[in-house]
Amino acid sequence: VDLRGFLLRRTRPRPFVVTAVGGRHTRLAVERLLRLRGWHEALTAGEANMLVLCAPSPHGLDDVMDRLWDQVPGPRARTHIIDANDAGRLLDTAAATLVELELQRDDISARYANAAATDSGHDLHAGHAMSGHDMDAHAGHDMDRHDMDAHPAHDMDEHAGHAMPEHDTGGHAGHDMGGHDMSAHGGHAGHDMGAMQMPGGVAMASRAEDRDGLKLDQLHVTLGPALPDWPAGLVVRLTLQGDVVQEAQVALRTSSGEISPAESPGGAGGHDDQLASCGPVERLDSLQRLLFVAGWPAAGMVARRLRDDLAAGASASNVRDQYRAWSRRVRQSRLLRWSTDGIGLLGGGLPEELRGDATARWKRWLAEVDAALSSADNDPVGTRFWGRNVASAARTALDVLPGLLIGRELAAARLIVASLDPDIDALLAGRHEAMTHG
Amino acid sequence: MVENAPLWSALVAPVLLAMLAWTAAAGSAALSARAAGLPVRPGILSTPVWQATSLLVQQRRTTQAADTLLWRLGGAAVAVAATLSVLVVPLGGYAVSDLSVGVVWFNAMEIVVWAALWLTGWGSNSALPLVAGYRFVAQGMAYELPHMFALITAGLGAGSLQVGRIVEAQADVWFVVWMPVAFVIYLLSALAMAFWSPFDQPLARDLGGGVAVELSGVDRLVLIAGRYLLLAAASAMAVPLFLGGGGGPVLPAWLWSVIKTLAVLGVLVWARTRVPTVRMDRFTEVSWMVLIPLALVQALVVAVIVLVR
Repeated sequence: VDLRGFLLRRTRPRPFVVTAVGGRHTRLAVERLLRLRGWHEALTAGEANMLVLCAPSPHGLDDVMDRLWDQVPGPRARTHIIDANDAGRLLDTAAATLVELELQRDDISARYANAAATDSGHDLHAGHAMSGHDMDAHAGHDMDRHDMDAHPAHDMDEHAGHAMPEHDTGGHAGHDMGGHDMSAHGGHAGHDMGAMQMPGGVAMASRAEDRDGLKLDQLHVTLGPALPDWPAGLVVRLTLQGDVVQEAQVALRTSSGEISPAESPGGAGGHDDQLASCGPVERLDSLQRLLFVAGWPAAGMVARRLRDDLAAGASASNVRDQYRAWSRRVRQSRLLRWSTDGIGLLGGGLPEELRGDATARWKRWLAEVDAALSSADNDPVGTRFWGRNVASAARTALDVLPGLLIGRELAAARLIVASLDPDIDALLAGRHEAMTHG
Repeated sequence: MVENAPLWSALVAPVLLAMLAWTAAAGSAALSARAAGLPVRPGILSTPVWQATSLLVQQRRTTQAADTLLWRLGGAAVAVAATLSVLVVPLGGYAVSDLSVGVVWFNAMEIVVWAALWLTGWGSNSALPLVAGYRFVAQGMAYELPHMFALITAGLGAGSLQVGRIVEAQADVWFVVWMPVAFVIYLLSALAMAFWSPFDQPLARDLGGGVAVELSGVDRLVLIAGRYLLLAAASAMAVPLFLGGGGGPVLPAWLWSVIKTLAVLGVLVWARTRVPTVRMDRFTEVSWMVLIPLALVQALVVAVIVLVR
């Protein structure tokens, strides 16, 4: 009996969902289908066996997706969903690919063959240039650029590359390290600083003084653009000591590459056409994201369910009871408040919807959905919007974000981002128009 | 009252523990399905099986400059420690080995988990698992002292660290009745030692799965299964410590042990749906300023009662 084949044919899909700017509708459709099918959502490419991209443009995240794809262990399948209406069909196709035995076996043996080829190529190179994985060139590179830009050992691992593929060093699958080492040698061969052996050919972490004046290792971690429960298109580069943020930089990942928030068209002149993108559905979407980040998937899942019902045109009276039970539990959760109290505090002078701490913001979201559900009884609630300049709020949020993150633990940093949930889609909407029209 | 079972029981105990763990996983899947608005059918019982087999046939991954040996050992050690810890837990009137220092044995096995989880985070040579590994070290610092005081309180009530003696001492009154604070602290720390919600920060979603970020295939399966085994082991130990072991009317002792264990396990699994993750940087303070003093006062009260009685 071919037990392995038998089990392979019963592999359950574990999709890792990546959303690009403008892919929100598709993501909502995908998340709804995953929920209804009971598919377990992977939190990283390494856990996944299916890679799902929700993006309106055919290319644009290719580099990220290719890197992630390298890191999905076999058996594996990938799909790119452009139109939300195709989500079900494309997920079906991907699930079918996943259990196509011949295809998966060929894929796995091709990867092994590739890995072997890369390894031998690497050996040749090493024999030619220097010994094995010796990283003196890289050490030189560190000294050259002082401690500030040196890449710590942990920066080079492939996974941080997976979930957060915008690593300066790039993510590499387990089997194609060779290329990485070679480029490091090629690029810095001139700076031979000595024969110091580095573990696995990776430079050691650099050190700097922390907030207490102690010399501590620095880690460079990039959050986004491929990260669960994270605003599409947002990239935050962090310098960590321990898990405390020392430095933070914000960038936006568009289909044509990375730009700084200052280059985005939104917010500056007030794109009034973007007023329409904020309603109860969007608020529940932000709430489910915050709840998942806060480690309360059960409540997050209910929020997704309510969101999907509203988006599908449910009336207030249909969802009101469920919503009330859920919102009461969330609002009364001391543990949730305990997690979000006092972090991400913003004062006056900013748009009203950003003010206060993280707790104040999610409570405001709840109150807004409350209000939407307590009026209008038989209209579909999902089509109601609030007149507000979402783009400028997002722009402001991005401007203040680095200052809010510095000095916070990683856990708090993620909650702060989730509590602001800047709408990058709205921020870059003008840019997309300019690109399509021009 | 509690006797040593024959040697072959050492092979049966892991099987029983695995069945408990599977029950917990199935229960967790059922609760998730309910939150997702799906009907909860009997078929949900097979969900953990298919999730496990899907991982079994998945390729294993490796990372650059990983400390492979320690990394893989770490994951496996969670399951091994959980299995070893139940050797002293009696089922009805029998334990695999009712050691004279059974409580210490149990405690020692769960300390193995500290090392195991930290090694899993550290061994992959990756930033996020490393952060998650340290989160568990911090968590250990927070829960372990109150936990040990809770264990000691039960031992104090019986005047022995032998689990069988502790069960005997509850023939009239269960310890949960006169040491409720210790029981609650034990349950909290059971959640924390199994890094189960709300103490699941080491595996948290905000880090893409924490120490498990780099794990795939059988390596991930071993860690996740180990976590359920730990949760089951901690539930099983609550019964002889605080709930009178196999004591109860009508039904045989072994069945009472099973029923009580399932009840505790059910509460722990269900807790996940009711609370968000506790941030360890906030919990540590509460643990040291509130839980430790409470645990000490509880121990003092029990000590006075034992002396006066």
